Amino acid sequence: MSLALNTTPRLAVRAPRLRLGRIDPMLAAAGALAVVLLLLALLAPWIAPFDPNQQKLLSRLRPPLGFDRALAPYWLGTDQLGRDILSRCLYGLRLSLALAFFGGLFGLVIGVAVGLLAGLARGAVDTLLMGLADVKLSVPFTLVALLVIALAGTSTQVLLVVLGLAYWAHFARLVRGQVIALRDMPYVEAARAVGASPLRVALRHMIPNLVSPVVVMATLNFSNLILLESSLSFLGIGVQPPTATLGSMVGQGRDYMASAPWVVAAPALLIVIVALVAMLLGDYLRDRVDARLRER
Amino acid sequence: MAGFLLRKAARMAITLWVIATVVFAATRLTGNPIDFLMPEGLDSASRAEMIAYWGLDRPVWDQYVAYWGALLRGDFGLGFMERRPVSTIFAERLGQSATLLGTTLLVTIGVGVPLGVLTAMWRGRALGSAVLLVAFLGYAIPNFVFAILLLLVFSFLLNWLPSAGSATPLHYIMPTLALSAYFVAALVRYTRNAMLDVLGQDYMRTAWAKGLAPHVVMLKHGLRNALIPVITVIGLQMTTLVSGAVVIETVFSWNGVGDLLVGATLRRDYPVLQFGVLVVAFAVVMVNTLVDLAYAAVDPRVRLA
Repeated sequence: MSLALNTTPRLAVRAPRLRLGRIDPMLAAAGALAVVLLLLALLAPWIAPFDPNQQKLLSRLRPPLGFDRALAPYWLGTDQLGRDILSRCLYGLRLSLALAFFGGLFGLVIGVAVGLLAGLARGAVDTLLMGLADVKLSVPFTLVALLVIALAGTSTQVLLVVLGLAYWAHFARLVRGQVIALRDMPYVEAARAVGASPLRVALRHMIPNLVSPVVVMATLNFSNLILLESSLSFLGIGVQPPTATLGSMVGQGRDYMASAPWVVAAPALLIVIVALVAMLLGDYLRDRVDARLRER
Repeated sequence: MAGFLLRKAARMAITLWVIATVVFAATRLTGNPIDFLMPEGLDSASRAEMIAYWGLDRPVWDQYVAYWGALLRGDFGLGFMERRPVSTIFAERLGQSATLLGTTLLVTIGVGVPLGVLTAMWRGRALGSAVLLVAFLGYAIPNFVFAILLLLVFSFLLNWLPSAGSATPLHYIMPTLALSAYFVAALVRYTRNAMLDVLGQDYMRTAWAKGLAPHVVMLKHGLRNALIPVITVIGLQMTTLVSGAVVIETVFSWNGVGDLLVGATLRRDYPVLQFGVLVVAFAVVMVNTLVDLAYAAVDPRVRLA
C-alpha cells in the first residue's frame, strides 16, 4: 500500500458495505432525478414555453399558477421584466450544468497533465509543480476568482476559465500520488525495461489506471463547481444579464424578494436539488470505486 | 522540533512569496494595467501621464522591487473610487469581518463538535440518523441559497430579523447561521467519524472495563483523541470559510472585507482588490501555519511527517 494521496489523516474506518442486489432508495431517487434534470437541460430549447429573455413588462411579477393574479401560460410566474421563470429556469439549468461540466473538464485536463508530469519527472519539476499546487490550495479560491474576473472582465468565457482553475490542484495531487504508486508496479517496470518511451508508459500504462479515481474526483467536484458558478453569478460577477443561470436568477431576483418571493424561490430550489443529487451520486461513486478517496 | 518549525516557516515564506508574485505577474501579463484601470476613451497624453505616475514605464524588475516595497509598508496608494489609502479603506472593514468570523467559528465549534459526539453515540438510532440527514442538507445547500431562504422566512414573511447591516446583535443571527451551516454540518460528520474510529480502540474498552463513568470515558478518552483530526479539518476549512464569508457578507450587506472586495471587483477598483486579496490570502496562510504548529504541539507524531 503506497497510495499516499491524502494530506488529511484517515478519519473513518467503516466496514465496506455490501450493495449486491440491494439498491438504496435514496440513491435510486437521486439517479432518476439526475436523468430528469439532464433531459430538462438538454431539451430546454424545445420544451421551454417561451424565449428566456423575452420581456413583457405588462405581465411582470406574476405569481406561479394557483396563486392570486397568476397568468395562464406562465407556470412558475414571471420575473421583474415579465420573463417566464420556467423558461429561464430551464435555460439556466442548461447553462449551469454545461459550465460546471466544461469547467470541470478543463480543470481535469490541466490537473491530470500537471500530475502526470510531476509524478514522472520527479526532482525539481515535481517540487515546483506540487509547490504551486500547494499554494493554490492554501488560498481561498473566491479571492482568485475575484482577481481573475477584475482583470479579465465578466463574461461566460472568463467564468469558464475560473471554473477550470478551481480544482486543477486537487486533480494534480491525486494523479501525482497515483503515478508515484504506479511507477514501481512490475508491469510499468517491465514496459520500461523493454524500451517503451516515457510517453508510451504514461499513455498506455498509467492513464488507464488513473481513470477511475479521476472520474470519482470529477463527480465529487461537479457539485462544488455548480455551487461556485452559482455563487459567482449570484454575486453578479459570473454570467452577465440577460443570460440566465440559476445563480444569476437568484441574485437578480433578490431585490424583489419581499413582494415576489417566487422569483428567487424557483431557481434557489433548483440549485438545491441539483447540488443534492450531484453530491449523493458523487458520494456513492466514491464509496463504490475507491474507499481511499473518502476524505477530502 | 526546531527543524520542524524551520521547515514550516520556510514553507510559509515561500507560499507568501509565490502568492505576491503571481498577483504581480497577473496584472502585468494581462496587458498594461492602465487600460483596465482607467475609464475608456482616455486620450494618449493622459494615458502616458498615468503610466508615468504609476511607474509602469519602468523596467519590470524595478516595478517588482517597488511592489514589494509597497507590500511591506502596507501602502498601495489610493483607491480609485474613494480617494483614500487602500489600507485605511481595508482597515475600516476588517473589524466587521472579524466579528462575523468569530461568531461563526464559535457556533461551528460549539454546535458541531458536541453534535458530532452525540451522533456517534446515537449510531443506529433514529435521532442520530435524523441529525446526519440534516447535516447532509447543510453540507449540500449552498450558503447563499440558505441565506436567501432565511431572509425570505425571517425577514420578509415573519418580520422578526433585520435583513441588512450589522447594527445590533439581532443582525448577527442570520449571517452567522448562513455562514456556519456548512461548517457545522462538516464538523458533525468529521467528529462523528473520528469518534466512531476512536470508540473501537482497545484503550476505550479498557476505560469501560475499569468502570469509569460514561462521561469520563467518552470525553476524556474518546473525545480528546478524536479531536486531533477534527482540529486539522477546522484548519483546512479556513479557506472555505473565507470564501463563504465573501458571499454571505454581500447577501446581508455586511460592511466587511468580503463585501468590499466584491464591490471592488464589480467597479474594477484594482488597488483595493489587490491589497485586500493579498492581505486576506496572507492571513489565511499564516493562520493555517499556526494551526499546523498547534497540531504538532498536541500530537508529537505530526512532527515526523
